[in-house]
Amino acid sequence: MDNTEDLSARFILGQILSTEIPRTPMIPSGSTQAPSSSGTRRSSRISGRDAGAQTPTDIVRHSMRRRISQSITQKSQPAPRRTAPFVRRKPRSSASMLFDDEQSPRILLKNILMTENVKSPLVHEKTPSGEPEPPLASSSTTNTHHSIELSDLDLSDLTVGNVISTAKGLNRKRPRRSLNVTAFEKRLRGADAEAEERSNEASSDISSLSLSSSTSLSLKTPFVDVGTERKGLQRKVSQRRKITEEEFGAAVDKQQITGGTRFLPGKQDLSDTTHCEGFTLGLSKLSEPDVTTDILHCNTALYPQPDAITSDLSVMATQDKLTVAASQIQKDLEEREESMRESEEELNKVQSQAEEEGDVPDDVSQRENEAVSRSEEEVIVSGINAEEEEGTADSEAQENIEAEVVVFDFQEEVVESESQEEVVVFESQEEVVVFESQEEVFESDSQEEVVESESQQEVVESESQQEVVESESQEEVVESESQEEVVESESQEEVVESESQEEVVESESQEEVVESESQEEVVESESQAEVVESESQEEVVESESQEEVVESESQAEVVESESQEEVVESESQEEVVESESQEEAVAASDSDEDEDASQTSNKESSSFHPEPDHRADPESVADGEEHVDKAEHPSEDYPTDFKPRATMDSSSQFEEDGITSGSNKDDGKTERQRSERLDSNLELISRRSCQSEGALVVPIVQEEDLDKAREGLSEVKSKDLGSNLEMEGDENMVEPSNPEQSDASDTEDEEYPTEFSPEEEEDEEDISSKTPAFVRAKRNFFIPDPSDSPTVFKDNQASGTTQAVPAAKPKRARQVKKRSTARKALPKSYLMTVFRHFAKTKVASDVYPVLDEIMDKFFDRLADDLETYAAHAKRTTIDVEDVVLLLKRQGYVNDKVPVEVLIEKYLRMDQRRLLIPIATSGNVVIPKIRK
Amino acid sequence: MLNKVPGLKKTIRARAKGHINIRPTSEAMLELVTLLFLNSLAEEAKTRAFEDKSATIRSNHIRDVSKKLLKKARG
Repeated sequence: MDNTEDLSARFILGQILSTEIPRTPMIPSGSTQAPSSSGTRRSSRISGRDAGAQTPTDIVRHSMRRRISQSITQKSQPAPRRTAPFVRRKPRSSASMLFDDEQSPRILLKNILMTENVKSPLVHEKTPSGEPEPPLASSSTTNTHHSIELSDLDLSDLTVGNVISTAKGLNRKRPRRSLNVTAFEKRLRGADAEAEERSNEASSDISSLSLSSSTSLSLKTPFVDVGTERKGLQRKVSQRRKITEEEFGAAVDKQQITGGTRFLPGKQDLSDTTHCEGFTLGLSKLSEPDVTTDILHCNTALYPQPDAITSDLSVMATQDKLTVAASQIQKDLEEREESMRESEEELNKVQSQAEEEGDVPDDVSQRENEAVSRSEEEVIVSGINAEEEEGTADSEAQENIEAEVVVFDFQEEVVESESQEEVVVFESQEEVVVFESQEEVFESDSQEEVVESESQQEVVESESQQEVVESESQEEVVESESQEEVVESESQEEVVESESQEEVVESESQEEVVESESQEEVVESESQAEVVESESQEEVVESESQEEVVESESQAEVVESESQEEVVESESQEEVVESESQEEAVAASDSDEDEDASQTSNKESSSFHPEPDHRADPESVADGEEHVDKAEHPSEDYPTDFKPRATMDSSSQFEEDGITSGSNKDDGKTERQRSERLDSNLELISRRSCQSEGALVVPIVQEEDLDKAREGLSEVKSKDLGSNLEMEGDENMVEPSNPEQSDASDTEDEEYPTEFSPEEEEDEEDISSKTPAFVRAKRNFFIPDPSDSPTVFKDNQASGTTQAVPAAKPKRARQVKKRSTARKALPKSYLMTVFRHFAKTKVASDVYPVLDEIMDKFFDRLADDLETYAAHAKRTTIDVEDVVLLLKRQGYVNDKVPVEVLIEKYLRMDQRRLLIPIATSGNVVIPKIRK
Repeated sequence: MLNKVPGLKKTIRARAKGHINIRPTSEAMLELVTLLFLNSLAEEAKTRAFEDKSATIRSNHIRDVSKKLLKKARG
């Protein structure tokens, strides 16, 4: 194209547009006129250039203008906004119309652009003043602008629609919708969100369309349908799961549980609640993990091995003979009957065992007494076996007696006899078994047998401390054997010296001896029996007579046994009998008096055990019991002393009755010993008494002792000192046997069942330690005839017996003495209830003694520790911090388990309130008025 | 636990070597100590009984356990 022409065209257009009214309802038809008019004008302008307007260029221009003007007019339908430019437009439109014919693309575009914008008319006003040529450029722009405006006006409908549609997509605003009630309601109902959404969407789509169509005029409520909202931003509350409180709590607990300490399964409830509190109330109070879980998982490595336990047992055994004796006595009585039957069997064993044990007992250092007693027992046992003829009962009784005696002496022998667990523990546990049988025998009416057995035992004891054998044999007797053993041991000690007796014991000679002794003892026992019957067994006289009887054991076993039985029964001091019989046996076994004494003392001590059970049956004892009983009684009386003498004496008595375990040789000795022992037993621990001269009195005394022993070993022990003097004055104090007896007694004491109250134990120990002096002193008085002392009844209850020497009230006297020291720390009811509660399983009632003893020890330690702590802090008052320190040291309190936790767990509210200052102890609606 | 330990204070005082006083608060603590000891004792005894395949706790079980426990409670 010709630039000039274009320019001119542009110029013309621009002029026209600027001058013309932007919205001129120019009719195309009128375009001719307009062009003409405009043309005229143009022509006027143009004429300025060319007069001839009909040049081809002019024609083109005109056509162009026409088109433009037409387009403009078409678009600019809206109300005339400007009137001023209206006028201007005319010429422009004309000009544009002129160009309409030949609308160059450029011009068309201009028109389009111009029509689009509906802008302010300012541009129009400005342009008309501009010169045609120079302001072309500017005018062109303005023209375009204007054209837009014009076009906008013209194309209002379409453009609006288009604009809106496009704007919609571009518009970031939320689609505004009219209030869709249905959708709103649906949403409120909380129906399925998606469904709602879908429905909403569906509805919303419709509504949106409608809305969109009337966006400009619609109410713009902020409400937005759910469906229209972006799903991602939607909160689906309805789908949320409602967690109940329980679930939450459980979940929390689970978390805590899994992460926290372990809890006993049984206490999950507590733990749960406590978990919430943040406490680890798990039963980790001990450093060790849950016990039950350990049990379940067999992780009991923490727990002691059986060996250790047994070793512990032995240790315990050695603790308090008195207690053991006491407990033994109790048990003896109970189990005698049972052991009766067993004794028979055991008798057979004993014999074999005696042989075996003959080699075993080498450790006589401490256990001379024991050994003696044991040997005695063995003798007795063997004698029993041998004398089964006389009656198993007798032998058993003897065994029992011996066992009892031995028990005292034998501390650490195997506790075969369960019944005499205590005994066994202490002394000759193995023998204890035998003792059981013996004990049983005691209780049985066949004390004669016991005596016999004892006599046998004595023999045995006298020989060697193959007390084990005896003990084994005595297992049957074990029950009451403790004393027997003691007696036996003591007597054995004495006998040991004579040595041969042991062998005899083992061998059949025991029988002989026993028999012989028993005979002697029988005689003695007879007399003793009488005494026993009169309950005056405690009297020295009785003991003496018993001893004598013991001595004569070998002679008339039967007789003796009978008497012994009586004796035993008299005070139900089977133990005594045993001891006596043991003594007798010892004597009969030709064993040294000491041995016999020890045996008798053992017997006594062993017999001492049953004493508590049969305290008040001196008469009954006397009736059926043999001298053995007598022997035993005193031995029982001497439990505190646990002197082998007593056992010896008793054993001697037993021998008299029938043990006659080859103690014939030493009948004189043993018997004397026995008697002495019996006496001494009364005074001293049966053992020691056994070691005494083995007078027959011992049995009687032993019986007394047995009775006393029952009441309380501790008392006896306490009395031992005094009683020893008294008792020993009789005969039981065999000098040579003294040391043995003392040892035996000591050992017996230690061996005594731990079940005895620790007080008793302590006392016993103390006394035993003290008694030696007395014993020795007293023993000097007595004739140290080992042969005579088989009937040494252990002066287990020497102390008691001394007081009860009147014999009329041995028990009461003992009770008075012992009660003071035998007080239990906790009453049985409380202790058992608490223990059962903690144990959560069945608990046998027989645990009470053990428990009691344990608690005693525990309290001792507790007091000691606390006192130490307080003293360390220079205080005389035990304070809370002391106890807390103790708990820490014990391991109950550590980093994981603070004290407060334990307090909360175990204590009652009133106590807790004391310990833990509580700001608000619960919600109290009506507050308490504290004054 | 619901009952008081009868005579506990006296026991402790009796066993103490020298003269000693006990506060009521410490008395409560003493009860706590004893309860703890009994509890552990019962537990151990129960375990021991289980080992012996016995559902009932007997004296021998307790005795076996006691030594170890007493040593532990020595402080």
